[in-house]
Amino acid sequence: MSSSLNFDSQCTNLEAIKKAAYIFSDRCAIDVSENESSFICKIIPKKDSTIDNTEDFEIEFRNEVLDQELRIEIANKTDGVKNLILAFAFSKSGLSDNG
Amino acid sequence: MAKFKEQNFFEKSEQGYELLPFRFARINGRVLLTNIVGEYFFTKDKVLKSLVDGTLPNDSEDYLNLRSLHFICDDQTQSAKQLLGIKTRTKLSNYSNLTSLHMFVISLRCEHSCPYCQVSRQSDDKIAFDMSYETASKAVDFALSGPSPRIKIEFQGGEPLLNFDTLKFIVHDAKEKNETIGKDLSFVIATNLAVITDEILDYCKLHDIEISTSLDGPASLHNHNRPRPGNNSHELATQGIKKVREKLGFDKVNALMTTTDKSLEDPRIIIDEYLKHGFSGIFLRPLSPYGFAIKTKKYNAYGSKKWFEFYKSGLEYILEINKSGVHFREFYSSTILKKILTLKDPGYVDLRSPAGIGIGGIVYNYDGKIFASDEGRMLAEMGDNTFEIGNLATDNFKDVFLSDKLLDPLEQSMTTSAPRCSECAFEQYCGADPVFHYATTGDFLGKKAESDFCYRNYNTFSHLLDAYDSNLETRSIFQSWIN
Repeated sequence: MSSSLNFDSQCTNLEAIKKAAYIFSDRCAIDVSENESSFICKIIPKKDSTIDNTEDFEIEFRNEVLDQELRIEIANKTDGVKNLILAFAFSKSGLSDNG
Repeated sequence: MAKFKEQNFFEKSEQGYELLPFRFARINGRVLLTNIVGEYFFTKDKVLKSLVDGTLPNDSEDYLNLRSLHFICDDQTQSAKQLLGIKTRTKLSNYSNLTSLHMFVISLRCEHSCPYCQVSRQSDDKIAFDMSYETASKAVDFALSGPSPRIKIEFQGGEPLLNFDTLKFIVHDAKEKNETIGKDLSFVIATNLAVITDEILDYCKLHDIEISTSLDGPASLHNHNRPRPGNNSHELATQGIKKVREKLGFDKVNALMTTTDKSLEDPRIIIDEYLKHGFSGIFLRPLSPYGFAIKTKKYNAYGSKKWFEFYKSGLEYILEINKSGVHFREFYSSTILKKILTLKDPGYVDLRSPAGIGIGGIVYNYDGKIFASDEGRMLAEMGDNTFEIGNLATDNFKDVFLSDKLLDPLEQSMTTSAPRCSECAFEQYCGADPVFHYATTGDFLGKKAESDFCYRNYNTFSHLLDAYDSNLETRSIFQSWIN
């Protein structure tokens, strides 16, 4: 089985696609390319792959891309406060410049 | 802690809320959220989306729970950021002491010939594989020179009791040197108990030395796993356990089991054996991919999926035992639950990031070589010295702990920056295991999608949290395990 999945490049984060591809790397290689309007993911299953049903796998992969986009959104929204918390945590340890 | 929140905690915020760092995972149709210090919350997908969009109603129960657990803060709870900082600092505070566990491999000799043994064993007449007094004295100096106020010296082998003279020398030397240093010093012997004598036990009683032994299950399984002349390993181990308890006290001996392919057939008979001998729990641990386990193809006899089925089945049986009124723990689960439900790090070396190698345990080999972990020593026995981080003949504590050979694998394997780990909902509970990943993939970080370590822990965390949160009786049992 070798199939392709397209994602609209206007509304899909390429980083999310790559993160999702990494998660499935035990089952297949995913080759990502781009044309004018889409990211094209060519799915190349491993020889001993457990991908039996292409349609199910595509649904699983698309949902994982959505989850990864949400994770990126959360990380972007909380990155500043995360650094603030860590700076406070290490503020009296002698490890930070101001500690 | 106050039983009730102040009244203003429940007042609506008029200015919206701010997201605090968190991650999520999907478990059995629910969404699990975990925050930067490991607080967790199960919810629905639509709540997660609403939470991230900034549209979660501020009078909803989810809002109050998420605010209380520090997933969000608003104008009523601005102190949440400082509290998270304090909790983060508390969780990491143990790292500054470096290791308290010092493993002394005082002999590679052993009269057993276990096919999964993780170190090369030598026949018992080769004294060339014993630690000398000179090396032992340097190892004691090294162990006592670290910052940790507690030092546990664990005697390992081979079979350490085959070099009992050096063991006695180390106990005497460490106690004498510690008189001026004043650390909290303790000793434990990891032994198969086959050669233990009354003389040895009298010595252990005199110096308050504890015993850690191996019990793989009932006689047929234990003797299959642990062949020795006479085929009586189980008989000697169980007689030894009895003797230790009589001489030293009931709680002065604990046992570990190793899961081989033969063990997978029925965890209940192994658990029953532990109950029969009065142990308060069992550690259903998997085989490690080192030494003879690889050479004899024992490691590949089963993968992490089969181990996980074995673990789940064993845990279910243990929960039934607890429900019948017998307090009996599964130690891997209780370690993980302690990490999830408390701020106390149980110090389990495999579930730490930065990893536990060197800074959570260090090994002095019989020949003076220093290894970052017991597994690192096993790799060296196979010809790979990657985790040999120094030598007692030439290196001091500072040389070893500041060496690139230790710091490189620690830095390169940290979960906070590792692919997949950095966004994993279980990162706060999990750990880096650079030796495992190096042994199986050739690099310290490993490939997480294919990692047995990752599969095992991800599924164990999911299973335990789901069980804890779904069933009140299970929750009560799990709480009794961590208290």
